[in-house]
Amino acid sequence: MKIRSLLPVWILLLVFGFLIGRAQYHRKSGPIPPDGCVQCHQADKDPSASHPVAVMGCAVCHIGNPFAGDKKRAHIGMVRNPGRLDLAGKTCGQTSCHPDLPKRVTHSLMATNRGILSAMQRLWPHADDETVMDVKTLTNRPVGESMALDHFRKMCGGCHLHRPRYPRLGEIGQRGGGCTDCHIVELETPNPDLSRKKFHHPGLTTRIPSENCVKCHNRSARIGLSYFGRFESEGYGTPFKGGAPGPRRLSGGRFYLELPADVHHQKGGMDCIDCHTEKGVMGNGTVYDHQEQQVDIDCHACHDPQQQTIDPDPGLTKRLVRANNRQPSSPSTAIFFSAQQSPLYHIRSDTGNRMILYRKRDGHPVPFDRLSTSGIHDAPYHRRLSCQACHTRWTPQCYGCHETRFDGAMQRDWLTGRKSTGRWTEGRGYLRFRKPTLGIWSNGRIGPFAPGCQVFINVVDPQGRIRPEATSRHLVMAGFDPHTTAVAVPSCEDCHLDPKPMGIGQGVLTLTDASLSTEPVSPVGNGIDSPLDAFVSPVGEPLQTASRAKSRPFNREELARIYRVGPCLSCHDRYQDPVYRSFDDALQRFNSGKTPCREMLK
Amino acid sequence: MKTAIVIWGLIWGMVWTAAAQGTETPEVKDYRRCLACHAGVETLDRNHAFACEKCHLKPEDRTQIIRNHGPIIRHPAAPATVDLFCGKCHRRDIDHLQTSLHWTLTGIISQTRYLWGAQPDPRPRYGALPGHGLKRLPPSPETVRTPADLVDDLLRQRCLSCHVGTPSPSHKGLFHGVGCAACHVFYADDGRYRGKDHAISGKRGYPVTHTFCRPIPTRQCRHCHNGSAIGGDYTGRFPRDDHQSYHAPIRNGVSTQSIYLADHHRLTPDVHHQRGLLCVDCHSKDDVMGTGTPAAHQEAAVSIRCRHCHDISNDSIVAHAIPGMEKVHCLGCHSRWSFMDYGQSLIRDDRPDLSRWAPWRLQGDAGVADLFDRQGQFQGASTNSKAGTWFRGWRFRRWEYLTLGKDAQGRIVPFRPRYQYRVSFIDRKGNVILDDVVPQKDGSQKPGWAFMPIYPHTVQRFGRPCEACHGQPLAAGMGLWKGAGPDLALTCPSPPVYPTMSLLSESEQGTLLEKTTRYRKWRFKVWRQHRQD
Repeated sequence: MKIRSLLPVWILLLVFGFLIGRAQYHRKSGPIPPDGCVQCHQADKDPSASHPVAVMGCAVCHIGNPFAGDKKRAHIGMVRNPGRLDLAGKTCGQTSCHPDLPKRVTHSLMATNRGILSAMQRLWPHADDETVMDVKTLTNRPVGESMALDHFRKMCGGCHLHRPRYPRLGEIGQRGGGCTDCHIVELETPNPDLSRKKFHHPGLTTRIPSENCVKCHNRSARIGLSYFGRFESEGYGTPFKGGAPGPRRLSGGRFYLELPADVHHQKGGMDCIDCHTEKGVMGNGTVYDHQEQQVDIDCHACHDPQQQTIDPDPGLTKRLVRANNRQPSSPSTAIFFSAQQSPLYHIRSDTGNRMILYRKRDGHPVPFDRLSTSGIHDAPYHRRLSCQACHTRWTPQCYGCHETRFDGAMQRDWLTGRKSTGRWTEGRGYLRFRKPTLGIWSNGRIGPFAPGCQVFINVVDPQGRIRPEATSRHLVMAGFDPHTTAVAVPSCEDCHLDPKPMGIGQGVLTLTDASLSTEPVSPVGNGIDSPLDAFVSPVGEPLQTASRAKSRPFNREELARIYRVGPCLSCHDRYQDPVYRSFDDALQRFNSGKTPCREMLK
Repeated sequence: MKTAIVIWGLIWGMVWTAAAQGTETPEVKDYRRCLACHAGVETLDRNHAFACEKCHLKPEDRTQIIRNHGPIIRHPAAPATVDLFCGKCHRRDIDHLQTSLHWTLTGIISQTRYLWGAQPDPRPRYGALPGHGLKRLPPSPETVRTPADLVDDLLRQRCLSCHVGTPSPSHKGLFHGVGCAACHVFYADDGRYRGKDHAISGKRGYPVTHTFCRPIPTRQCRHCHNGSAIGGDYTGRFPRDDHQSYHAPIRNGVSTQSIYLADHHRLTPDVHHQRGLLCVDCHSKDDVMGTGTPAAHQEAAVSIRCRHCHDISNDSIVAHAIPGMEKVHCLGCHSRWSFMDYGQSLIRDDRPDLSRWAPWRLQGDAGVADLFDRQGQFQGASTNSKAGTWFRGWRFRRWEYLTLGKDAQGRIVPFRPRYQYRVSFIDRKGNVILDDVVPQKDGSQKPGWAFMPIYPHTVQRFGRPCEACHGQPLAAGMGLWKGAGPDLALTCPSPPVYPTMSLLSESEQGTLLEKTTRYRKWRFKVWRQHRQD
């Protein structure tokens, strides 16, 4: 009754509402809607400032049949996620939008997973005739015999750009999707009701929040964790909260401890994209084998930047600055570039030795210093050191990776989405965060290494018996930037007298008959004679494989050179100390009794 | 009766006589005729070549027919009967033993009760067994308001399982006898009898043979001293982390066999072990079995010193001649590694469903392990206790960190984070009564945390280098990367329980961190000797 009596009012309100809404719509978008999609779907806001729906419509990205009157026909050929790499050429990458990007991205490591694939096929049980170097080819191929690829499919293949995005809770539901994988924000609404007016369209951005990176980059080298001061813990889930293992959780039932974050984050509040450039992340079109080849920045890019007077691609700089939309003004001073000529438009020279970085996400200025050249960073005897060798505070180190394949069980294959025979479980030996091993990186510089990975493979047949012929182990140490930069550095003794950073492993070094030997502390056993943290013997025999052909542990001569400084360090422990101008001469003078050191013995 | 409870002795002669005389009708089985079944059982030793009944039957039971195993005393040396059976000859030893920590466990009890606010000071008040001025550990109150209300239950459930008076849990490595037999009768790790008594041949829960062991093997001590308490380190065992993913299920093609309800890293053992010395080669009767004067805690009970065997007063080692070195305990340098278990979170969970704890089922505790089957399926809460189960989790464990402090003799020794408690309690209905509470010392409002001296049994001939401590804030007791968050704050030591012990003072820390001219000079001298060797 009441409702009926109010009916005219309701109708009136609806008509008014419709008119107002229409008027609003027209005021915003002009008289002609760009396509017919908006008749049914209207987002609460544009995906981004550079993707205004009112101008571009929907079909330009989502394809479909925008002028069909009914739902069924309108949706023919439509894509829900235009960022999909297989379609990106027609959507994001169409001629008038981002034509070069789909090709670059498809060739980049995040799409090919070539780095992981090549490492695994080199180090794990694998037959060459199955070799495959990109994840897309592997996806389209039937499951083969290779243990390396079986493991990749089930344990690694969940993080690549070709992976379709599906509405699942947690990290898993946020991974994949091509361009969308990184460029999307508002991840918490994976499944909006599109039939509702004012539905929530996910935002697109080039100011990529670090969470988008960390949803994948939190395993293996764990860079996305370390940078933010998180160390995947030994799984205790302590302290307990609310009667259960605590809330400091990571995906996959893992937990973390809070350790010092990278100084760039701790002091500067910087995100991943404040260092990593578009070419470093999306590639430049070249198919690289390894991450360090594609990444086009290093510490020097900002801390020892090379000024260029000519911008090779002023249009790109302009576009990036505009898309970023947070920089205080167009850079007027000379521009700095990364190694592959990505414009570092967000760093500027300030007065003197000072520099300023304007954070890409919010434009907040972060002042910093250029590399000092006061006899420390340019010390000739440390010229091979990477910045990371000293300025790394800690490194996540996971010793012993015990992989067991149960032939009689099934597990989901990330690439096909279906279960297949063989289930993997992963166990660990022990974790550490202090004092990474040092060694020679593939670029010839001395830098931190961590296990990557020390795999012990066992295969259990359907009857529960070990298949001895399938048992194998592959001990590998990998060099990488741990992303835990600190201003403070270790003392001289911390490296020159400690066998762990030298690569020999925890223990006590002894020098007898001019030959270095060690009494190790770390665990031995498991069928190996040397501890898991021993990358090299005290006389320079490599005990583990390095993850790159050109990287290696210190050799005998290098170890001897590192250690021989040791005794002098009790007194000569400053960079500027004259004995290090020519240490060989100083040592000769000492050995012939011509130095005042002898006085010390009295 | 399932417990085919068996006796390790009744009188040989008597049984034979009884059988020969045929005083019994064949239907009535007289359980005093032990050897009818247990023929072949070993004699304990020459001095104890007794009839079975002398140790396994109370005097009043010896004169009449007994019709089942009931009156037979399985563990004659257990505290309840030790006076009756062993006391006649070993009165003095037993009196001394009752003052020892193996008997009273008062060190652990009073330290934990003090830190949890259940008693005002760490003076011994309660023991695992009463006597010598100690009262029996009281039961915990029904209502729980603070950690103090839970501490006695914690001690009973988790700590006192290693008491000489407590029958051992039936798990690999943990089998032991009761009372005197806990040490003096040797049990194999699998707890199986391997002697000539066919009635119990191969059965679990029996000593290897029915004999006294002399000398007591190290393995015997390890039935209790196997975890992060001293003992595991002597043979180089460091418990792996508790979570199941750290107990690699298969290693090198062989299924992992856990022992002591844990799994272990094999680190460098003690040189004394490498050379074949047993625990008892250093630890005398006085150390182990008490002196007659009640010992308050372990550091005070052990009297053996390195110098009792090693005279360094006239050796030519430069490092030994450094002025001030006399203040440093030998182990300050010569211990290689230790048990540094940071941050101990404990939770008593009274809820019926405890399946959530399955990944952590191997934490060295039978009460926890018995809740689950080998595949980790929850079996249902234990029925023998009204209270729930205690679960423990560490924050992180390290063997290579050593922090220095001063023990009760003022000597500089390694200290370890023995007590860094955080306590939770969930009642039967799932109410969180205590949520991650740091216990507080009685009335002091200070956290009940303490670092304690540890004498790592990881001795090696070469000491750790000077730089292992000098210049290291962690060793000086200033923590790792000061101000680096709640987890690394655990590396900053809390003062030890007893006022006789202390952390390094500020000036001592300074001395350790600063490279004085004197330090440089001696460091160089040590180097020179090192190189000339």
